[in-house]
Amino acid sequence: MGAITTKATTAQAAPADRRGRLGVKGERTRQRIKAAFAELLEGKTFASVTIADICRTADITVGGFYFHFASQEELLDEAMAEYVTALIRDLDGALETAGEALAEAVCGAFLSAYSERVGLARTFQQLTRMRADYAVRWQSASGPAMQRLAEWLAGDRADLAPDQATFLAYALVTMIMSKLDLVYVYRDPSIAATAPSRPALSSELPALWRRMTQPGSTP
Amino acid sequence: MSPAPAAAEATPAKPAGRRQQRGERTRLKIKAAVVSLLNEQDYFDLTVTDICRAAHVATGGFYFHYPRKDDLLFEVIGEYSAEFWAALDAALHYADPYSALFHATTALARAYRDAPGLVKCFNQLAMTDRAYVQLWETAAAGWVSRLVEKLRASGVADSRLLSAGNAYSFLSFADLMLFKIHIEKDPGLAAAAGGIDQVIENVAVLWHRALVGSSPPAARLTFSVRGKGV
Repeated sequence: MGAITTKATTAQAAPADRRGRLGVKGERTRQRIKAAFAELLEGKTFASVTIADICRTADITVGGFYFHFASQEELLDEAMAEYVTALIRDLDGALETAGEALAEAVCGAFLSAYSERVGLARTFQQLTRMRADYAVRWQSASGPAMQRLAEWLAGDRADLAPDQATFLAYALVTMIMSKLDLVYVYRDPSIAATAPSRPALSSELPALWRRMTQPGSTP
Repeated sequence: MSPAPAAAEATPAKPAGRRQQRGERTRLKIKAAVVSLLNEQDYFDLTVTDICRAAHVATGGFYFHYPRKDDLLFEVIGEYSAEFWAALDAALHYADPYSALFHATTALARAYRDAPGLVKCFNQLAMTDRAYVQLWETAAAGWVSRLVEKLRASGVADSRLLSAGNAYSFLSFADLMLFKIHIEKDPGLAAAAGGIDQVIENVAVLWHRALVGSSPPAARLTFSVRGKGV
């Protein structure tokens, strides 16, 4: 278990020169390696996936793997960076939604990430808990989107002070992620039996959102 | 904290003798040392030597009580968990739903305040080690079903979203909010969150709204009255 604490983002830019002359075929192989890794993560934890597993699944040689990635850590790093970029892009798109449907759109962005990229989503959640650098990566990547959500909430609820709109924005995203974590990341057997399906989640999450954002307290 | 039953097994013969008392003291010293070291250091980087130095215990003394670092941690986490779930159970004795959720959130916040390093370490281990996940899941599933029962009995107006799954995920929600504020120290959230009392109230209000379907009565709230509520 010691392996997971060390080495965060070491060999990030190493093969840049190689990548420059990869060509179409090389780029396809690189994508195939990442797809194989993502697939393996659906059934295994990132610490237990081996380079041999990846090569077998991607149908390449070990030499081929090392031509594209200096280490498994580099592959993990790139896969996680791409996962976050895609999620933030979807989230930004959702934040363009006008009016009430914004709740569905934001919940939908997270729901797609978790249900369509379940191995990557689970790995990213594990890494943010275990490594401070991953937590920071998420904080800085999601920060601007959180601020936009806070501004939207402040526009929707005139009684909210700016700080409270920010708190509520973080709370809503935390609610979505804690619910999806239970269904897709932890897979608690006591919950899994009654875990809602994706269509059920896509209506339940916005319903919880609307309850949480209802104004003020009962008189 | 009650004396650990394992201590009695580790020290053979001469029950309640001086030797046993001293053994118990050593165990307590070791446990206190690891809890305080975890506030500054990651569990995976922590060595038995570090723990012994901080506890003023010889390495041999350590291994007499704990064969491995993991055994020590499992015992410490077990003890803290027992205390934590007792506090959460006590919260369910309050008659009205808001008080129950408020006191449950307070118990969580207290755990984060008293032993942040240990809580962080527990969260890390729970991501990879089934034994720690089960420690949480078993207790949480039981508590959540009692909470749902209680909320049903208190005549919640709209119980459509009052499922065990939602109640469970809102326990995680409260936990994750405190984790982001106290452990990850998310700058965007921490700056807006305010003091711990304000965090507890706002988290409990959101938890209440989600499960009960309405905000708690205004008379129960401190911060919303001052314009700092969610």
